[in-house]
Amino acid sequence: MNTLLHELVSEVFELEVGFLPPTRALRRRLQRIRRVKSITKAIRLGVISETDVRSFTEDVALNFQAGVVLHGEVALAALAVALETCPQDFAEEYLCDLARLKVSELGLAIRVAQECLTARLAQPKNAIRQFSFPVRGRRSSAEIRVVSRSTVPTALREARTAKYTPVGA
Amino acid sequence: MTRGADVKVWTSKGATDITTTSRTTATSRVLVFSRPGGQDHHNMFEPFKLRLATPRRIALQTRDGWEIANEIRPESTEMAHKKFELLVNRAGVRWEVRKPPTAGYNCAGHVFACRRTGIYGGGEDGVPGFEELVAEILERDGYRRFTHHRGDPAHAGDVVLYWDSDKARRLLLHVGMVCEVRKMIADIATLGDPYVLSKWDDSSGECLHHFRHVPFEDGDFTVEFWTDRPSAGGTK
Repeated sequence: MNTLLHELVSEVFELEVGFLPPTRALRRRLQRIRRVKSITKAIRLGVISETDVRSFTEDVALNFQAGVVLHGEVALAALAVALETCPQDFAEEYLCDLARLKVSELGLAIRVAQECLTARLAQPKNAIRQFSFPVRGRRSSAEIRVVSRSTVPTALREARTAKYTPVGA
Repeated sequence: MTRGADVKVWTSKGATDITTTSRTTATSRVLVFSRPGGQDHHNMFEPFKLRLATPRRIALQTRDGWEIANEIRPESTEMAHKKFELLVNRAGVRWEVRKPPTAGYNCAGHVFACRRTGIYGGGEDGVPGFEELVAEILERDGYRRFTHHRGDPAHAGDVVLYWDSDKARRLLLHVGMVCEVRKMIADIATLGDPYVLSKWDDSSGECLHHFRHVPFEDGDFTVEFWTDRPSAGGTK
């Protein structure tokens, strides 16, 4: 498991989040936490990959016990918040898959994912990437600056979510 | 595949294989999704779907028969005790702990559902968010907003809402119930301070506290008082 993601299931992180307010307020609180911000950054930079996210959810799922709140529920909620603004396809897949669940043991994470998905759908959908090559003032040519901007007409949002419609459902 | 078994990841090689890899079992359906790149994969949270645990809820209505969406959350982990202890140590030096950490209901469930269930809002199609749900309950149950002052002081049984101070965001942080109004100096005609009974989340305990002694950052919240008592000069 990626170290940054591993920190989300730690006791320290749970204590840092503290008591859990209602869903929207919790999403807001998670957005302010430094660890969550750094995960968003790491995903954008490619330090955390799709494989890391998949193995993380699988590892958290191993803690599942029927009738007990899932250990790592807050971590799943925090990851949902971290992925909310990430342009990658797997970010949307994570949010859609989590938001669709109806499992009481991780109800909090599900509700946060639904909030994140709502906020994500209100955001621009496609991004214009601006590449500065080579980067000004540096001789290194390895850095690329990515800037996301609003461009998407509302009508295209449904077309985008349609990608994840189950085949044969 | 047996019920509750872990799902192994498998991928199909091409788009034509999608229908053959999608299959139905006795307990669940394993879904295969198609992505633009042609790479197929199964649902990221499939192991949870296999558990088939459905949320528990009870019949709960407002005075006029409107269904209130609710959910009884399962038992919390040991972490809830640690979190509650830390919360009391950090923010609740002057709190009176009425009840140790208890699962099953949250702040709104404590106030509007007599500790029987949790009221969260959202989560299903057509269910309003927490903020809208609480506003709906207050309206349908005939509550009115008032300002705590000498002419119309707060009483036991009134409801307190804590909002995020940024009104543009409209974030409802907490709901509590006034349990008593204490005067700093007895026998003097001063306005007492409301003391609120709060359950901070669905795994915490209950605490009695001054209405301003809350674990939100100072200046980061606003307080609203609501009551179902008739107003001083009117019928409602």
